[in-house]
Amino acid sequence: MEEFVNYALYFIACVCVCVPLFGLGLAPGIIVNLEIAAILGSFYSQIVEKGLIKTLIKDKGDSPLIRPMVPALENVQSTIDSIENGTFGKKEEKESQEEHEHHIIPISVYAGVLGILILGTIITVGVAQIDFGPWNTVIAMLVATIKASFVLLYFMHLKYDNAMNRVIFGSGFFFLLILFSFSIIDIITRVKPLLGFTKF
Amino acid sequence: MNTASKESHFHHAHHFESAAHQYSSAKQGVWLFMVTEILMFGGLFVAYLIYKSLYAPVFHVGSSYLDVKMGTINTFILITSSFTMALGIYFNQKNERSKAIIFLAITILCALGFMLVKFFEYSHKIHLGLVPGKYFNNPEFVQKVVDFATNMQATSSAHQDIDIAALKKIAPLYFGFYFVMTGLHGFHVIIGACLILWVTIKTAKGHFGPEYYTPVEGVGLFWHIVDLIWIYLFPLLYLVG
Repeated sequence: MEEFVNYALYFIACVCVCVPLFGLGLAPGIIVNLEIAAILGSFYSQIVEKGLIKTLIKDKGDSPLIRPMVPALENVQSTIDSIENGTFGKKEEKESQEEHEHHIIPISVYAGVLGILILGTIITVGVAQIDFGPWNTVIAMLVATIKASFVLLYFMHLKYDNAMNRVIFGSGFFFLLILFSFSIIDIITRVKPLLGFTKF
Repeated sequence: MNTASKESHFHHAHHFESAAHQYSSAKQGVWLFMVTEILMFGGLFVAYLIYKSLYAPVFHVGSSYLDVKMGTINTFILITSSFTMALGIYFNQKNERSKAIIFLAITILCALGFMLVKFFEYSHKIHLGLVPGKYFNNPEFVQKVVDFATNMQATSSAHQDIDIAALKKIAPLYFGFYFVMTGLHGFHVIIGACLILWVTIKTAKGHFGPEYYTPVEGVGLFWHIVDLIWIYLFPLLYLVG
């Protein structure tokens, strides 16, 4: 049952990501084929035949195509083993907690980030004075995103934080992305909007 | 048996394995709250982008009514306050209490400065009658929107049908977005300033030290999110017309 729920969620996530692409008409045929192949492939390799990676390494480990991937495959296999044994992530989590507790970012790093943020603001305001037409919006959002990532990584300590907090933030961002893409698809398909990319 | 240092009398709660466990659990809770904040403002940003693409002339003329100079000053104030907040946490980690109090106090002053600039901006807008909904009273703004739309229709190579009557009716919408988005953000600034005051008082009373500074860290995360939202709000409202 648990596996079924996992795969249902996986499927929903795939649909969420691909629907905006369908809406834009970007190679729908290829996406559909890839989707079906990926879902069938993962079902086959993980539910029907769990020892697929082991047999692959044993049987075809010598062929030039597979040999470079052997270390990566062994890594995946050991992760799967640790999940099955129930030891996955337990040791690492504790270590990262201890490590974080003692991590103090030096003032010079904070000052550097402050400098970058001030520079970013000057660039944003300066660029807005010059008319780049459609690129003004793009530059402004790009600089804002760079500034935001520095705040997140250093001021909010996300760079040195444990993986869980990063996943929490990432999930919020992911769902925001879904909201954005669905809304934009809706607007583009229903009415012909005057996007900010047209020069007045 | 007292194993905590003299500076702060801290023992982790009995349902946690260790002080580090308690710290990371509390921080995880704050991060979950931050995600709800991002999603709340995200909804407003999506609404803004939808209406901006539907009624571009209203938003173009509207953003020209905002004072870029005041917005830039406010951006610098918030960035500086984010820096001083980070230093407030840093000196709590280093157990230098008086420096921590100084930097937290500067952060509060920055918050007050931000709200002061906001007060001047808001009172100017209200004075001009640039307010949302039925209280909107500025015929000059509506005329500018109509002029801009007809001009755009005449010069645009692509054939665009613009409904002038709808534009006239929708014109106050821009200030609806402006006041709701900056107002909600300003509300967060006020709450953040109160929270920083709280941790400053607790720091002064000697509740925090290198082994326990969780509230400062949590309030700091909240304050940085407030800064983060302004980083996006400022170019969207003031600069990208």
